[in-house]
Amino acid sequence: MFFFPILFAVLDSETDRALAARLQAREPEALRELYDKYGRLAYSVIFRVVRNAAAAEDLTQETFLRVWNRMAGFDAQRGSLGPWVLTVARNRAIDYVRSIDGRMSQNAIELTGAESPALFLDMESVILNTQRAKLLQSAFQRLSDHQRTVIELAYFEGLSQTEMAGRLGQPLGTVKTWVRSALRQLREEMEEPVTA
Amino acid sequence: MSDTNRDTLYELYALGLLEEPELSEIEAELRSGSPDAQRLLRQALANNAMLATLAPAADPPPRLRRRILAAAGVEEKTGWTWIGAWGLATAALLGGLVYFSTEATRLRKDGFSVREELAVTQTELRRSHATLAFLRDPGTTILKSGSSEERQPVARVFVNPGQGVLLIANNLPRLEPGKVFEMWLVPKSGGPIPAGTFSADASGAALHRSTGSFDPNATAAVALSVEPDGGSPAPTTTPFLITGM
Repeated sequence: MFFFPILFAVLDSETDRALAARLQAREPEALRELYDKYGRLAYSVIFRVVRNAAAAEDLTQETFLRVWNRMAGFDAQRGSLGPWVLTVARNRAIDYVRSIDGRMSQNAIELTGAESPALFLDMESVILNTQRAKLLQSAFQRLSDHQRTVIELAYFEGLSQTEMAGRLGQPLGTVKTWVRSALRQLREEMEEPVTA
Repeated sequence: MSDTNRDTLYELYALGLLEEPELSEIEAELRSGSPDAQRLLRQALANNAMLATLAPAADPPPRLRRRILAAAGVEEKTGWTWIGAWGLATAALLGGLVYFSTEATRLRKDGFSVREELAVTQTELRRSHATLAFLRDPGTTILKSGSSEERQPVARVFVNPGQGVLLIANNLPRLEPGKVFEMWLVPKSGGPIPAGTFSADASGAALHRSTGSFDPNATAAVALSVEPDGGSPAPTTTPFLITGM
């Protein structure tokens, strides 16, 4: 199993707010800082999904340009930059593998709709830092093999529960149970809900 | 639905993996503008973002930083202070090398520009292949809307139950800064469903594909409106182009 979390510096929300304001002001230095903070993590997520270095570079570039060009819609005071960047990165990668596979779940929603900058508000509790990454890793390791597999298939391969059932040769109801219990267990172990 | 179950459904929704009938339930909650639904979606997006940290670490090549900054029109810092001092000393001793060094730099930049254009072209090519595959699929049918008069907005909409909706539009109006076009799938009953945002090029031409689920029998029309950047959960302006099924 490949898991080891990417360790990255503690990112305090105050710093991210200032960074977001500078990105909105189109400060070139701010884009450099954004890439230096999240570039490695975004690339790692994308590379895990597409498993192709050239495509991962293209998609990482697309991710940062999308964020740079959509900063006008981001709330610099309440917005959460890290979760937004990572969501855009993951969605670009999943869109890519779906398009080249000609694979699209019958019911899969348009991923672009779930990455609007206006949605990434008040996520103080998910400030991405090494401690929380370790917490998630240990919570993930406590899942059963089946639960870990379905989380990987969902997050890194973008498979719907129906597609997972087909891939794993398991009844849909069983897969739904694994997915839901895994997400619930991870959520509970990560504690602290997002503030309203 | 229990609160715990709803948390999970919103997480699946935010991952783009929720299926019917729960998908329609969650979309209806979000369309209603319920603050609770918005809170659950934000929480789901936050929880999902943490899953990114489970990816094995992979180091992007150093050139990627330069590519991204160049593509955004931001010049890369190159440590001119150090390079300049070193360059002056070198120039005093080996002036002739400056010419060749300058030439080499220019050639590297030219090479970088070519690679940059190639990467963009490759991305476009992949999208073109996906679009062609959609158009070639026997299940794809075409709808049309708009005026045939010159410079009036016009749209051709290709629909495929298994692959979604493809919009090819021309003569779209020029947008104010901070605005985008948003496509809507208008069901026979219920409110419009967001189907992605996009922009047009300088001539007003645009191509947009929604790869979400699509049921032609339950859909009355495909519509376009102008919305704030990032899109809206429901139209905030009157749709200016409506293509009936």
